Amino acid sequence: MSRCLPYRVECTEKCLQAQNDALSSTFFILRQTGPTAFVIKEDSERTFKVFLGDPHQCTCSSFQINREICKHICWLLLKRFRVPRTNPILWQRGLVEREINELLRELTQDNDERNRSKFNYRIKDEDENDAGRQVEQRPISENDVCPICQEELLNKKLPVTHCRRGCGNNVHVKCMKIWLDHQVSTGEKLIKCPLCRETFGTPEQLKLEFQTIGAQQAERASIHLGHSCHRCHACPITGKCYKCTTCQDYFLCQTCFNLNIHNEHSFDYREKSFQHWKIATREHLAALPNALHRVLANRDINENDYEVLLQLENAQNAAIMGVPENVVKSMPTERINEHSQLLQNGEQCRLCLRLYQKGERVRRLPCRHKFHIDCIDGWLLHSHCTCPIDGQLVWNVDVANEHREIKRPSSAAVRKSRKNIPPATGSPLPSANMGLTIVPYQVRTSTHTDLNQQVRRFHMRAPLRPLIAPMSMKFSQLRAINSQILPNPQANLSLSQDVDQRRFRRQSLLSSPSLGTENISRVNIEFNQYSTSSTNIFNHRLRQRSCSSAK
Amino acid sequence: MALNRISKELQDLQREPPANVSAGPIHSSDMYNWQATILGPSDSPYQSGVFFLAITFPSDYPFKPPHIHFTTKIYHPNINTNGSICLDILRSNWSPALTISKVLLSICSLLCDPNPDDPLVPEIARQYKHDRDGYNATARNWTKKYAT
Repeated sequence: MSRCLPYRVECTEKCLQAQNDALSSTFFILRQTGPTAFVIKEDSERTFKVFLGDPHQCTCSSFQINREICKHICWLLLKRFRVPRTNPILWQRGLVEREINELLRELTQDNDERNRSKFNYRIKDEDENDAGRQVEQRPISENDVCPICQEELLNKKLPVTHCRRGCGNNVHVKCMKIWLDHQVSTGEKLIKCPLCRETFGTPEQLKLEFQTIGAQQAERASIHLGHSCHRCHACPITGKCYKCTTCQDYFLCQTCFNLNIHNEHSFDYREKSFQHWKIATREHLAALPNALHRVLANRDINENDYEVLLQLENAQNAAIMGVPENVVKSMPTERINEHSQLLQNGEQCRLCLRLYQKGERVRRLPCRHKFHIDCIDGWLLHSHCTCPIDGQLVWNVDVANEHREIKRPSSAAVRKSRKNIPPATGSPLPSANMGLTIVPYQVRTSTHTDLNQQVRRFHMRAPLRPLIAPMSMKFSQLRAINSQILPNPQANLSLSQDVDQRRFRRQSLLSSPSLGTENISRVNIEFNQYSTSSTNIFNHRLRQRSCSSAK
Repeated sequence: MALNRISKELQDLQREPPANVSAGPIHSSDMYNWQATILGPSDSPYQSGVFFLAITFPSDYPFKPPHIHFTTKIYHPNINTNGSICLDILRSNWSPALTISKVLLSICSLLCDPNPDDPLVPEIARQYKHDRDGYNATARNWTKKYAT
């Protein structure tokens, strides 16, 4: 392409003068009207329109008169486009397309390099002092969503990262990682913020940040973060996580899945959060103890059983309660100092999703998870007694009661004496009759021994022990006991009324003040030691009934 | 991820429907194929027209842009006879933070303010630049003919 003005081999004196003038004066770019078109302002009020092209244009008087390169054009080339003073394009009166392209390309490369060096400096700076960040993380409010998955950030409690150069908006690390992989696969070198399109960081730096979080995730692979059980609202689901194949976002935990709810659809499950979903088959009532399972499998589950299950459910739901203030306050706290691991990349309070800052106070739960004091206190004092991340029980009324009993020998003595007290005639039916005992339910699947312990403690509190039919006790003997309690012994033979009585007894157990309502708050069904005998009695009674009806 | 996000967007669209725009899946069983309608903006020659668009989500949405094209014929410098739309955010400038409602609103504003410097149909762009009245008349004509 030919120039409209001839090429100059050497720099003219006027041009050199203009360059010196340009370097000694200050201009401001008011507006960039095109890639090489600018509106610039001198110290005075005057503004000039400058266009770099073939030929250059400027609205200043010296250019208009002389049609010679003015200081404004020189300034743009020298300062804006960073052309070295030895470059011959500085003293040409016009630039051809190739030269302009070169200018623009060098400008972008230059910018990238500057960004990179600034970035490296910042990383160093961050290591020394956290205050070196350019953009503060934006506070997350209730309705803020991740721009990629559009899920509410505070609802999901997944770790977030934020745009550190542009807008400071928050994005899930998980989502950003997929975006990163996607961009890398298309050959991008710098990852842009999905919201402001500013550079989010280099892939290397982002990967480092994601690795920190990935390591934390691997530890908790059996915890299904972000999925809450549709029935018991446990979040996150631990152990096996069941997903409805038809409904959107319908998840169940193992316990609730086994309760045979939502049985109109099939389910998939996985044990670890990185596994693929597998088809789940329903084992009816597998959540119940095996012994009870066997008994229930041998007969039809009638509506009364359903009510028992419903009662359990209600009791469980009602049991969500907070932790007393003194317990919360007794958990260890620490102040974040400059060497704290919590200042590492990716570490954040998983309740408010904000990064930790030096000088903030955090509280450590027994499971070693740490949160801002304000965040975790609010969580524990208001209706949660579990760690928000892994769902581990932080404090348990039963455990607390146990401690209290150990501390106070007098209560143990009371318990001992209670053992020998014969039952009052108005007291509820023996639990052996039902074959079921309500025991305080623990969120963490408790071992058999402590379940047994709880069963025992339960019996000690409610003076039921003498009423329980021993193995050798015959049905007639049991009926004799029952007849003492029930006004009409004949009614006892009727199976349905018998079940009604059991229900009554269960209700009275649940509301019995001697038990302490908090103890029954989390109830579970467990066979007690006399289950076999009661099954025999049950079968015997059934046989008897069928005989009498045959007669 | 894709399905979750798409159903999330559908919920948001139903909860807060944007002005002049509606969208939803054609069949409730297939969330990846949507139909959208845009009412012609009142300050444009497309006024009073109802334009239909077909939206197909890729399986890796929102990391790839959705495919959107007009199924109603429209006279516009950035929309060709196949209904393909020349819009940077649907190609190189796509960001996962964009949602269907935002994209549809962008298309709405493209109807108001065509971009003749990056045309898909150069003839219409030339007419838009040099003979605005002629362009307005033809666009109104087409709107009357195909979109009402």
